Amino acid sequence: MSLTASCEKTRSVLIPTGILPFVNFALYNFRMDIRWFSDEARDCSAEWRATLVSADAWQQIGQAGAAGGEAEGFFVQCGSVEGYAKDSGGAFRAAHEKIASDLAFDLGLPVPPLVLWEDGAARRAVSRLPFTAAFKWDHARQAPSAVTRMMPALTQAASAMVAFDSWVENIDRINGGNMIVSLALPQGFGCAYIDYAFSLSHGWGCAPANPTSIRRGPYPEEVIVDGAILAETVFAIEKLPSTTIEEIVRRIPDAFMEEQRRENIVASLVTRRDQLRSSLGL
Amino acid sequence: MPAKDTVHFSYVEYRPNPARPEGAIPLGLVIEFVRSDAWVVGLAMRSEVPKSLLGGMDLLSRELADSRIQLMREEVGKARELAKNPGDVLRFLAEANPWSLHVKPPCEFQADANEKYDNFTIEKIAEKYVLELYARKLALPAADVASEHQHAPSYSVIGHAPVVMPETNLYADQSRHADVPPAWMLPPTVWINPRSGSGR
Repeated sequence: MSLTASCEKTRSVLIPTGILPFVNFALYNFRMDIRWFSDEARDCSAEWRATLVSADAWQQIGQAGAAGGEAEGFFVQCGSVEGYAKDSGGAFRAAHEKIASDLAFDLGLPVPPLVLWEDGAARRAVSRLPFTAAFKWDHARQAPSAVTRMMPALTQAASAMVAFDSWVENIDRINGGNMIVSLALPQGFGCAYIDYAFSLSHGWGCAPANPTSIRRGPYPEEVIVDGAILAETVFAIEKLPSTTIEEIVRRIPDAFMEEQRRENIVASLVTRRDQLRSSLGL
Repeated sequence: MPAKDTVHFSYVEYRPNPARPEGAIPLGLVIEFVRSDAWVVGLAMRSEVPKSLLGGMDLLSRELADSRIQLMREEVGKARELAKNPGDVLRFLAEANPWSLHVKPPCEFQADANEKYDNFTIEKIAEKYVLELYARKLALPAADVASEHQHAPSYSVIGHAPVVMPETNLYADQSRHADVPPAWMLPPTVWINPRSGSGR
C-alpha cells in the first residue's frame, strides 16, 4: 500500500466539523478529538494507522542529524508527503513509537501518524509532519501573546496526555523539545506530542511492568491539569478493548521487536490500563 | 602552503515548512572554529526582520522571529554544555532545532589563517569569517546563485555596529525574490571555550 499516493488522493476530502474520522469511533463512543493537525495529516491518519511498514520509497531531505548517540533524525519525502525519520538505533525505539502512535490514534490523542520503515539494513520510524510553522515548546513558551492564545486548547491536550503518558510510561518529557505547537492551522492551534522511543519496554524490558502507573506530566509543566479531561481520557483508555491493544502490538515485525517483548507489552498495557484510574488517584 | 582554519558554519532560518527550504527566511548564522587555545563559537543574527515578512506570519512565528537573538543565544548555551569537541556545538544545534526555527546541518570551509590576523582579537576573526561566508561559493546553497553573485558584500554602519548588507540574492535558498537583503548584526556574539593543545 502506498501511503503517499493515498494521501494525495484523499487530500481534497474535507472532514466536516464535528464528524470524527476515526474508524473505531462508533465502537468506543469516545468523543474526544484533540488531534489538531493539518487537514493533510488528519486525512492520512487512518491509513497510516492501518499501515505497519511503509512500502514507499522515502527520500532523505537534507543531512541526517549528527549529534551521535541518540537516534538521529532527518526529514524524508515521498512525492509531496513529508515525514521525520528516526533510526531505531539497535533498540526498540521505532516499535515503541509505532505502538504509541497507533494507540493515540484510536484514542483521539495528538500523537502524529507514524509508520515503520525498513531502509536497507536500517530500522526506522517515519512520523508524519503534523503541521507547518511548527515550533518546539521550549521556544513557543517564550512567546507570551501566543501562549495566552494557546493555553485553553493546550490545557486540554496536556491534561489528556497525562493519562496516556502515564499509561505507556513515557519518561522522555524532560526537555522542551518533545512537543511541537503551531498557530498556523486554519482553526488556529495545533500541537503534537512526539518521541515515544523511551516509553513502554524501554523501562520495562522483558519483565512485567509495575501495574501501578506513575503519574507523568503535565507536559508542559505550566499547564494546570483539567481533571475532567484527564478522567475522560482515562475512561477512554479503560474502554480500549484488549483485542485492539493486542492487534496493535502483536503485529510489530520481529525485525523491530521480538515476540517475547511484544507479549510483555501487551500484558503490561492491559494490567496498567485496568489500574490507571487508581494509579492517578481518580 | 598557507595555514588554514577549519570554520564550521550553520545558517539559522525561519522555515514555514521545516522539511523544505522553500520560503525560508534567513535569520542568522552560527560559526565554530579553533584559534590558538580557544574554541570559538560565534552567533551573528539578523538585526531586523522587515514588517512585510513578519506580517505574513502567524502570531507565534512572529513573536519567535522577534525573539530570535535571545532564543539562539540560549540554544548555543545548551549546545556548548553538551559539546566535547570543536564542531559539536553546531551538530547539536542542528539536531535540536529541526523545526521552523531551523538550524541547518553544519558545513565547513577552509579559511586562510593569514599571519596578519594573529594580532586580531578572537571577536575580530569571528567577524572576518562571518563576512567571508558571504563571499564564498561554499556558503551558497544554490550553485547558479553563487556563480551569478560573486560580488564583495557592501557595508554600511548602523549605530555602533558595522553591518554587512549582502546582495539580495546571495542568501536565497530557492526563491530569489522572497527576501530583502538581511542586515546582520556584527560583531557576532562570541563564546570562547578554553581548550588544551595547539590551536589550528
